[in-house]
Amino acid sequence: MKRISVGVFKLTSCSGCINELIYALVKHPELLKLIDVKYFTELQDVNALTELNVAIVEGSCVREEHEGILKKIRGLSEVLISMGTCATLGGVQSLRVGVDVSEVKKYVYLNPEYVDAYNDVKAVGELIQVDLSLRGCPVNGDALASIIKKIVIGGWPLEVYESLCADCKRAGIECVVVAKGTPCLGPIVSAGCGALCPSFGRGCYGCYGVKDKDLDPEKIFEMEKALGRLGLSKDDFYSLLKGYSMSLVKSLKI
Amino acid sequence: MMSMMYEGSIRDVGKLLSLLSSLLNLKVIGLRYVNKSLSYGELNSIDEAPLNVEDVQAPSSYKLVEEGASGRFRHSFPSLKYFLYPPVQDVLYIGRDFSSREAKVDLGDVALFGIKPCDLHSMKVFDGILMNRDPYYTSARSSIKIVVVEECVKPSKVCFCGSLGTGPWASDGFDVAFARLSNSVVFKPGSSIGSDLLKRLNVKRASDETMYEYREAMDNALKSTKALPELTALNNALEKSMGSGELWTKVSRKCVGCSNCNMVCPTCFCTEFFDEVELDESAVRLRKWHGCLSYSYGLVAGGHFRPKLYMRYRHFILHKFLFYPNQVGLIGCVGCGRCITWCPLGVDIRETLWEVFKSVS
Amino acid sequence: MLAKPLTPLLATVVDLIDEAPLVRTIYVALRDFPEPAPGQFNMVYAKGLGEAPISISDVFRKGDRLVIAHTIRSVGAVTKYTTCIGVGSQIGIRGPYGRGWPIEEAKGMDLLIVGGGIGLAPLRPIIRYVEAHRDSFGKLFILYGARTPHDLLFKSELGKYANIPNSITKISIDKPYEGWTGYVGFVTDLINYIDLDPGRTAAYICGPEVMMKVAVRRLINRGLKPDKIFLSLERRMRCGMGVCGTCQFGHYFVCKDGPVFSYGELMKYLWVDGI
Repeated sequence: MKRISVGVFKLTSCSGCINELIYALVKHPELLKLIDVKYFTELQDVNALTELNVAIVEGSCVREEHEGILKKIRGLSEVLISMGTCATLGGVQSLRVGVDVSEVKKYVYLNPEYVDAYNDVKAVGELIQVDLSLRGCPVNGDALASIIKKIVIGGWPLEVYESLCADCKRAGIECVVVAKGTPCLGPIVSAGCGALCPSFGRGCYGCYGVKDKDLDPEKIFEMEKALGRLGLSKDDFYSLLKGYSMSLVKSLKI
Repeated sequence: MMSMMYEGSIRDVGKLLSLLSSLLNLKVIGLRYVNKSLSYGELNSIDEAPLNVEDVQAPSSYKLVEEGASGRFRHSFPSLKYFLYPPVQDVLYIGRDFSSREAKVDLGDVALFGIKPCDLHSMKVFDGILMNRDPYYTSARSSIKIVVVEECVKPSKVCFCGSLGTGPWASDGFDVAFARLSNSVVFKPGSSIGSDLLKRLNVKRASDETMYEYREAMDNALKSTKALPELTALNNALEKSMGSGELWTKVSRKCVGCSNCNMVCPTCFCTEFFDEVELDESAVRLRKWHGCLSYSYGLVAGGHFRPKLYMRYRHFILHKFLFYPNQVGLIGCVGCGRCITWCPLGVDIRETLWEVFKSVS
Repeated sequence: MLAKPLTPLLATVVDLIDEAPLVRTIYVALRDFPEPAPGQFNMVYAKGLGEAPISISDVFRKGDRLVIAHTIRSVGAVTKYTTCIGVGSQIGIRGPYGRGWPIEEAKGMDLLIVGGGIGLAPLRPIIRYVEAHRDSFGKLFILYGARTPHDLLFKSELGKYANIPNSITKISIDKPYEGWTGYVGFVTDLINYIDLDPGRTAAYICGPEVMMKVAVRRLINRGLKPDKIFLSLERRMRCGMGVCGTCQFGHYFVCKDGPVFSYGELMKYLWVDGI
């Protein structure tokens, strides 16, 4: 079995997905025998920006510099994976989109002039071609490990596009919407977390992002109405969508 | 419906349950209501059966009521397939050297206790697709030696078995059926083993008054569950509607493709296979339920055969009513109404069928 | 009771032919494997990755082993794997599955084969069969089209089809291509250029579904009977034996009721978008 060269890169994000990746490597140390880590600043001191079999990108693009970095990485890698909701859909920092960034900076930072960011927040896929998108805030470490193994074997993970509800029902969890009247975004959100929040009796807040393949704005509106009846305000509903599904909010024109 | 019937009390139902394990040495499986939660499992005594709760069901709403309950439990989201055709199942273990071993299903000898006529009927539908074809289902199904059915004296608001001939009473395919009336319980044997079991209970031939109450209750239950257009006319309408994308887009407008209906439907059997590869290069093949409302359904490498949501919703409906009769000789919908209750958007299959029926007829 | 219906048989890759961009034919040798009929398919298993239904494009015996050719386009999770295997690699095979082309029934008739792109793969066994039983059939028409000359399958063999007695082979390319002197247009256009006797012709079609629909329309217009036009359908398939449910097309399970259907059987559903 041939070892594959891997680089892990970080744009704007909380590093939670990188943590998940490191946990996955700790949990499956044999994985390190299958990969040759060329670039991973959170894991090793010596890093080289060279040609890669697989590039994994965490975080979203918030300034010009990021766009250049992304294009460079794309040019160097055979396969490029966007890891996590920030990289795939924009992430929580998208909540500031629509407001002048120089205003937002003032609320948070003592020296806002040090922060370099443009008004928009872009998902990796808005700038370069992405071969595989992994959602989740953070991503599911076990899924990540499985994907790396399958790529090492020479294959590709089988992608199943379904709602969180499918996982929820398969796990035998009683629906929080139907049985408790708790607002839950599960029906319009991609599966992948194993219905973590509903398994604790909470509603899903959509960290895996809205399903983009089969929904149009009318369907999102139906969901908004249904959750509105359970007391979730329109503002809260669209904030959750914006915070976890920004690039879809843009493309679906919600 | 009119074979010899007996009457007894709720204690006799308990005795019947005990007989199944003590006399026939069967594992008694049914819905258990323990610590206020409901799940399939082994019933150790009648006290664990959900006899003193009521499920208050409506589109997109489900409540279990205990206090002052009339004790009319019908069902919850887990249908029999959670037991017979589990949501996620190992299929094959493949070793490093490619040696392989198929997973085994061994449930022991089982009695199903307290299932409802709609769920009883759903087994016939499943049998038609999977029996002697799918090794895991075949093995699980063959482990069922006895079936005890509770007939539905008071169906819920989402029930429509009366339109489909799948309830509210049981006609065949069971060993004993019972129905709880106001002051008594009536029993009906469905097989010779069922007759033998009833002989061992302290039950007497049902009196005329009891039979009158039973018939009246069943008659009312039937009336309350007639909610669909006449079936032949409905099927003609569905057949005619097949090519109208516009109509199906309209009737599926509230659907977001979450596949909850597929998961709770007792006759949805579609599965997706997937592999978990281990680091020593061995692998486990598994399968999990996969709903036709999910985007992946119809997706192939390089294309999609049902790219639009209305196409998948249409398949869900047409499969139950038009395609199942061709595949197994039965309508695939059993009228349990689970898809109505457990749809978070409140999509109601009865409304869909009426809407199609009215716009085509 | 059932044997082990979901266990793949270990097979060794004995030969590989790169047919076209992303398309490979993989020859595997198997012992104790039922001989597939023309038009049937196998489930090909890549360990740890999954299974995909693959057309059987050739079958022959070599010693005590059965050699089966699978022509694969590497576009999916499993088929991608096939680009990185070599002679000696091991893959799993289950099958053969499905109802193949009805050929025996067409004895004495003229045969028309219409293939589009990789759709020629499951049709090749018919050509082989006719070659081996040449006197049992009338005329043989082979119409084959692909996007570009590079996308044509079985290139070394295509030229030889013309040598089959009493046969006509026509090949088309979708768009003009440098160096291509043959027909340019859709393969279905070629139907207009052959002299069919509709009353005594059986047609066998495989290709993208849009192409098959056009072919069916043309052939019906030429007077062929619906039950003498046969199509091989593609669908998502996971089990191959009618239990996973994912290949349903109307009330049919494409894996076990098909993949080959007569147009007569499909008439009700074929024109319904996304049924």
